[in-house]
Amino acid sequence: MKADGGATVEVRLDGPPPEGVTTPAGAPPSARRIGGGSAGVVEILSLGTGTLAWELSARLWDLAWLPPLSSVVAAADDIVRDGALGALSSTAYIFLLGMVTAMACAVVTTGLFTLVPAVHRLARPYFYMAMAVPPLAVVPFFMLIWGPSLSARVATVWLFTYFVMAVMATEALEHSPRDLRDMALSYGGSRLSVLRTVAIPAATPRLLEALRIAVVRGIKGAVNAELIIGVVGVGRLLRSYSAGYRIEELYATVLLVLAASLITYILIERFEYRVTRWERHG
Amino acid sequence: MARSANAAELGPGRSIGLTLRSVRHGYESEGVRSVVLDGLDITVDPGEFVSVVGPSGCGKTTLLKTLQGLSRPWEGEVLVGGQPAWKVPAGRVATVFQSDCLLPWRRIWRNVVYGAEMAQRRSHRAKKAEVQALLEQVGLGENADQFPSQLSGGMRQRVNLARALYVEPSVMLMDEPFAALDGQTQEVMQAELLRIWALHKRTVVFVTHRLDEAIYLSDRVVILTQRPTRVHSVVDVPFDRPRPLEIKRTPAFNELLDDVWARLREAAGSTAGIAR
Amino acid sequence: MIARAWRYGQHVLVFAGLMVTWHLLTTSMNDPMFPTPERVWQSFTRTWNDGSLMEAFRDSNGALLAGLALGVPGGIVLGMLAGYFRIIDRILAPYVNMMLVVPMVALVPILIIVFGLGTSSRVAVIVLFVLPDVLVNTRGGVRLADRQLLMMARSYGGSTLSVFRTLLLPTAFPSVMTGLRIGIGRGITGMIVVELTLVASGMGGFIMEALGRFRAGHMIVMILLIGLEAVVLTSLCVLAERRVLKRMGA
Repeated sequence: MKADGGATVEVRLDGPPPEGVTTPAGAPPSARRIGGGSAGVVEILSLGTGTLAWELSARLWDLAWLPPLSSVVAAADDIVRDGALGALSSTAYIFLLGMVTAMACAVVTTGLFTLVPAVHRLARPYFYMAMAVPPLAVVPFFMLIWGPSLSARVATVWLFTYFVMAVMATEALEHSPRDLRDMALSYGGSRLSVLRTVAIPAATPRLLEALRIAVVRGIKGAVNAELIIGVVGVGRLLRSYSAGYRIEELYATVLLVLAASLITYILIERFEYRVTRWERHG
Repeated sequence: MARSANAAELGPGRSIGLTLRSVRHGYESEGVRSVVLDGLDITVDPGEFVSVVGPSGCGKTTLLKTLQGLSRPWEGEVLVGGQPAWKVPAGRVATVFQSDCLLPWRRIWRNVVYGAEMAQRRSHRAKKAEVQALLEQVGLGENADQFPSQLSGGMRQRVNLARALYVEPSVMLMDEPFAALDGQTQEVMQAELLRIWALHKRTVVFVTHRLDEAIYLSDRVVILTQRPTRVHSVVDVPFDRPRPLEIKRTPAFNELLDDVWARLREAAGSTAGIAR
Repeated sequence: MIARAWRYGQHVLVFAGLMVTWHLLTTSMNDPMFPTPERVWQSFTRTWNDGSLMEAFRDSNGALLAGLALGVPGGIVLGMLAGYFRIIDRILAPYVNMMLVVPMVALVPILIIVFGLGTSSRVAVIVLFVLPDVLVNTRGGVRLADRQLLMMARSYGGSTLSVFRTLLLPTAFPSVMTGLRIGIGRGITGMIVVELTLVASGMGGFIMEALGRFRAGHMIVMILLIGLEAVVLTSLCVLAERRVLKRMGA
């Protein structure tokens, strides 16, 4: 929760403001910066204290469900040897596949919506309804159709990310600045060149934000998919370790997922930060 | 509206004249036609600097649109260099708006070439060096690599100006370009504009609310009436060039100002919307 | 007038068209996994009549209510603290940020080990899902209030409570409502995530059982019900927000 410049309008986790609809949840508000931003003394201390508290209380009270951090770290080493990284890469694989297909579909959809506004208007209620249903609930249906296969898992990631990307991208392109468009036209620019030189660059910050939000949801989708469909990947690890009451390994896996998600998020955020440098000057 | 690529007379850089003859134009909303311009007759000679003043809503923007060729009048002719305005090739007529309309994601020099890019007269691989000279002319030699957000309002407006100059237009239309700037910057920009204009002496049509600005800058001031609009009168500005800003404090200037003010009052029928 | 009717009419047409397409496609496919609209309707009436639908609904939503009762106030309180006191904000920051970015679902197995297989684990999961978003939005709302305005009010002798009531609350209110709306959505997800993965009861369990018995119609009915609940609840939030704003004279 770093400084967001103070003057941001309400913290909207959703892109477009659809009234009465479950917004694509689980995404950090657009104005925030974590990780790459300022990690001050207080934040680090807080984290450090938390870690220490964990270790101490686990040792002091010997709770069945709370292994000390140190043994979790040791277990992490074990699971990596056992092939946890392989599991992680299979998760990453469905994440990438799902996101790429969702992105392709979103590009087509956005193009269609922008060029033919009538289609957008008519399809909008269905999109919002689709976004209202927790994608999680649909996963078993994918299992029904495709069995516990790769398709089911990739489809889950697709479902988690497609609608958000399509809706936010369309929003971004619809709000292209009129005055710049008029200026370009006054110099004799064709509609295509105006689209290319004005609409798309103007939309880029919001498109990147959509991408960032989609990535977070994609990670959720991948982990969810594997938890439910549980054949390979981290989800399966989570299930098997919890079923076997192997608590240290379970915690270790969770930490692994945590680390992987954080790293991915920070990378995307940095990328977004660099590309939108022009917004922050002056 | 197709723009023909012909017209040898309208070569880059050559100033040309403008003529509006009995122009009648307006807009349509829900099937109802509203007349804005009603029989407008204006002639601007090549290389002349003409200001257009008038009461609020008298259709200055509509007038500019017809000169740009973006809108064809219901009746009458709008000729740019003898050709109908809508046939004039892109980039012959450059417009400088009140809002600087710079692309915030492009560096300054890339913004300057943008107009030419749209007019397709230079490849968008234009070199920075070509732009540098022009930037120096408008006093922004140091800022070529910066982004618009790093510049002040006055500086951004200069970039706007540079962009218009870069296409080497035959005619420049200016729609209250300094209105959004603070008072002191406005005066400075007026002087700057004259200095830059003197280098190439293009034909300029300058729309404004401020009478002192109109008189200071131009060779002639055209005063428009209230709607339905026609030309009320045209006043010659007899001062020699180059004109220092101090000229605005001279008695002769202020007499002229009073004269134009009085005419405008007459043209408007009231004092609403006129700034001295 | 006619134009407006036509606009609605277009939507009706599209809906009808989709329904017809659904029917035609599924009838021609004749695959039990892709049920026709009629089949889905049959499933609905059957599960409604034998009570299984509503029983699952009550079961899950009981947990949801409990989870919201804990998560929402908790999120609001923490959010207000974080919004008002920078130091608290900074202390909580690393944890909340992680909770927003990392899939909370990964923690579900741990929570089950901690709370067992009963309702309490479901409630705990829901709290975990709801709290971060409510917190972050509340905090955002509080930070909207201009520091200077607050100081001005205090300088006139306004007590902390009255400043809170007259300045902070109205300013923060829309953001808090947004947080609530999002939190409810997340809560619904949390409600079913446990049931879908490890503890088969309630609506999630209903779906998993339908999966085991290859009853596509049943699955679709429950999915639609969950979606409907989500839409209705968030719409209620929006309406409530509007009415309160009107009362406050916004």
